[in-house]
Amino acid sequence: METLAYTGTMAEQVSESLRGKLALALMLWRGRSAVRALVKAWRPQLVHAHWWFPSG
Amino acid sequence: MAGLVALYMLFTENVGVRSVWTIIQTCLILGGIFFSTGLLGEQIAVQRAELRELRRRMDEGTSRPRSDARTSDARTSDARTVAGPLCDARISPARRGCGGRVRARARPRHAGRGVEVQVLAPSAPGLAATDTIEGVRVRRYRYAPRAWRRSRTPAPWQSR
Repeated sequence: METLAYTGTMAEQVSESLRGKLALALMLWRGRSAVRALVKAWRPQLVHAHWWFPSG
Repeated sequence: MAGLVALYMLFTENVGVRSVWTIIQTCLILGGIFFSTGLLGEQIAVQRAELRELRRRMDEGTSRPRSDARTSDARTSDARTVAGPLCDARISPARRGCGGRVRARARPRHAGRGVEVQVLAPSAPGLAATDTIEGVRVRRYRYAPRAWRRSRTPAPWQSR
């Protein structure tokens, strides 16, 4: 199911299937959690965030 | 003054002077425009000042002597940066999903200057949770339950 990123088919997967939509929601949520955890543990001075969305 | 005279004439002599009211309307419109553009300009100036300050801080943090940079490691680096998913498989599939643009975007400006960079990116089938690409640590977070992680379509780097 972790096929949204790097394949270039994120838009198609999300628009065509419920599984894709669920995966997108999970990816965004887990991404938020991962950033928060890393920021808390590592204390960076700068967070540079971007994503070529929704191409994947 | 023109407005006061116009009001005086309107109420005392029951005479309305159109030209005066036109001037008043024009002044009100121009005032509104000048006020709003001034406010906008001030906001822009504040943002630019903050940006300059941030750049100055970054330069201070990254322009330490090279000897410091050489001896700095993950625990002693002057600045730490979490970079978002700086990757695109179509640009650099050989990088196995993430980190291909690290060198292009983050590393040259910071490497060897006392700045430690970590890349945080979503995972994909076949990729390790952590990796080091050209000296930059890449962390990949899982976003699907373990049972769902089987890929139905191979990633670009898997089909090669």
